[in-house]
Amino acid sequence: MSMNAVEVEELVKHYGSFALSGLSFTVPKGYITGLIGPNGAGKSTVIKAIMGMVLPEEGRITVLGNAVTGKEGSYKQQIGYISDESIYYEYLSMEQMKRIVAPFYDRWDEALFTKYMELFELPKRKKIKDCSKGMKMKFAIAMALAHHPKLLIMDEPTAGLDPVFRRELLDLLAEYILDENNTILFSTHLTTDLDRVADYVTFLNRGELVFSDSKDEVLERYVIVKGSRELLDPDVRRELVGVRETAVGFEALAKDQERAQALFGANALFERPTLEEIMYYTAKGGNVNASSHPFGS
Amino acid sequence: MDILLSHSSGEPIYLQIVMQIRDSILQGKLTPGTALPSIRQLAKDLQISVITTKRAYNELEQEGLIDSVVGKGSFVSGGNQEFIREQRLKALESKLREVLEESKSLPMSMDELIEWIQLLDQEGGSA
Amino acid sequence: MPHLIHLVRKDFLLLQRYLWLLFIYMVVFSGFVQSDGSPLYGMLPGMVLILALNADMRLPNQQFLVNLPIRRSYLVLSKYVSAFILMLLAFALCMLLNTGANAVHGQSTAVNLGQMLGIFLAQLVFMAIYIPIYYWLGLKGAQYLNVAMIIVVMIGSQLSSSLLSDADAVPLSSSITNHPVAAGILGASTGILALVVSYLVSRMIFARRDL
Repeated sequence: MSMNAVEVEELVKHYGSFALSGLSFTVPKGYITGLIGPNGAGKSTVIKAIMGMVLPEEGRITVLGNAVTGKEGSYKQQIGYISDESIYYEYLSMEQMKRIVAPFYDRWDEALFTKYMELFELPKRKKIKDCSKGMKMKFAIAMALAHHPKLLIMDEPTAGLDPVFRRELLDLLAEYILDENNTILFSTHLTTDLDRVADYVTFLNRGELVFSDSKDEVLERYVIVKGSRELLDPDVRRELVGVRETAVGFEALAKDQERAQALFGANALFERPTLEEIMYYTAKGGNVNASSHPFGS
Repeated sequence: MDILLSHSSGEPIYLQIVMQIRDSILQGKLTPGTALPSIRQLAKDLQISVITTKRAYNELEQEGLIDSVVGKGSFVSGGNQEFIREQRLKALESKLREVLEESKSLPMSMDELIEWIQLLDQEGGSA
Repeated sequence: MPHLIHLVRKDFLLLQRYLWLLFIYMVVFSGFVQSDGSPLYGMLPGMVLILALNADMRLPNQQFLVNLPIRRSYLVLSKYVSAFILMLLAFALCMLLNTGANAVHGQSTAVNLGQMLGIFLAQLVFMAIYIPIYYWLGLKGAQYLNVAMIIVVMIGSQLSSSLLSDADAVPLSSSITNHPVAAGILGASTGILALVVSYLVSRMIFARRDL
């Protein structure tokens, strides 16, 4: 059995002007992987392809050892999927909805479902359309966990959740991942509390993979450089992912901390970046570089 | 054992864990054979990633401070008492150097300093 | 196979909320209230078909279905099974109701089986055309489709009622009654063929759909 819960190889999909052209990455088994990137980066498309909702033109996806073809569905027995919006029948009560879903899963655990419903204080008889966004998300989580999935996939799970439940969600995920046979993949365009518990980060930008690596390594590899604009000559710029220039200096992201330290030495300030900063400079980077004039030279 | 992490200090999280567990072991707060929380349990309690926790434990294992037994978890190492004593002596030495430096700059003579230490000891004050 | 049953069960559960509406329709358009109850034969099964298909037409619901641990083709097949069972039930109810009304009004309760078979067959053909169009148009077109189909159902119900009363239809129906076995086999095979072709087309359309 592979060490990866999900393997995406050379995925190709065109959607109007948007395209995934040969995307490859893996989701290691037993860990939490965050799929990050700005809106329109292709995160949802990738997740939908994994769930067999979007059919790729080329490429291969393997989930827990099963090839995803778009025809077969039984591999989803082992997946708990949480969509970014409610996909349930709004006019049904949560209890009715559960009665529809439960028979499809071989390992449906009614006691566990009830436990989560009580933990989340969800009234069974309440109609889904009368639930708040937070309640709908909680219900989706209860439904997803109640069939003992080996892989939990969440598309933008924290969007619309209050900070209190976001923290509770962290605990839930940490409890789920206590079992090292379990794997979590989530997507987000915000850097949230979720990033804190993520082991791996896969960063998509405009349909392309920027990196897919352990989060700690990413955060140690990149560095934020701050300094005087006089330091920026064309050679230096080439070393920077993105630069933000103001009247009082520049702030930039460099891809390689050691090279940056060698390049700037004591002339600049170095800081550990956050994922948000890496995302910002990478997404904006090209533009900022292209439109800015080399004032320093 | 308490582990208190700061997410804003700029110090890598895994290093904060290593230092705090190392200190607890060197200070004798954690005795040989004591079971440490499992990697995943600690990650859950601290709300950090499993890999970060794993890295901290690996580091401690390399220093010979803890042993990991597959299927059982991690324990404070008993086999490295020499090393631990050495580390504690080193820590004591650096504190003594500090005291010496301070007494020189006061100034205070060596005899006076020794006398003072003995006095403190008689008071039973290792407060 | 069990999953197919669960999917059909789901369609029945989703239709529950329309039970009252259907019941009122059934009574209002039956022979109890109307002087002629025959339009009911076209109206009720048609309505049930549209309701059964539209219960999970919204995109999120389609996504929900595709996320279930089942083959995509089962989703399509289950719609045919549900629609067939529901139409059959609705048709049987119509017959029961109108026969009951005839009995109350002191009219003949004899049922012309040939005619009934013909009408039901026409409805199966209607279903065989409707479902692939439904899958083809998807969410965007389905609103227009439904308006069009409701009109078709109305015209169809008029047609079926005229088929029941029209003297021109008598030779046809009598030829059916004279050769019941041949007519039955011909009718059934036409219906099955239409449904099989329809299913294959729907499956092909749905297999390529991104949700």
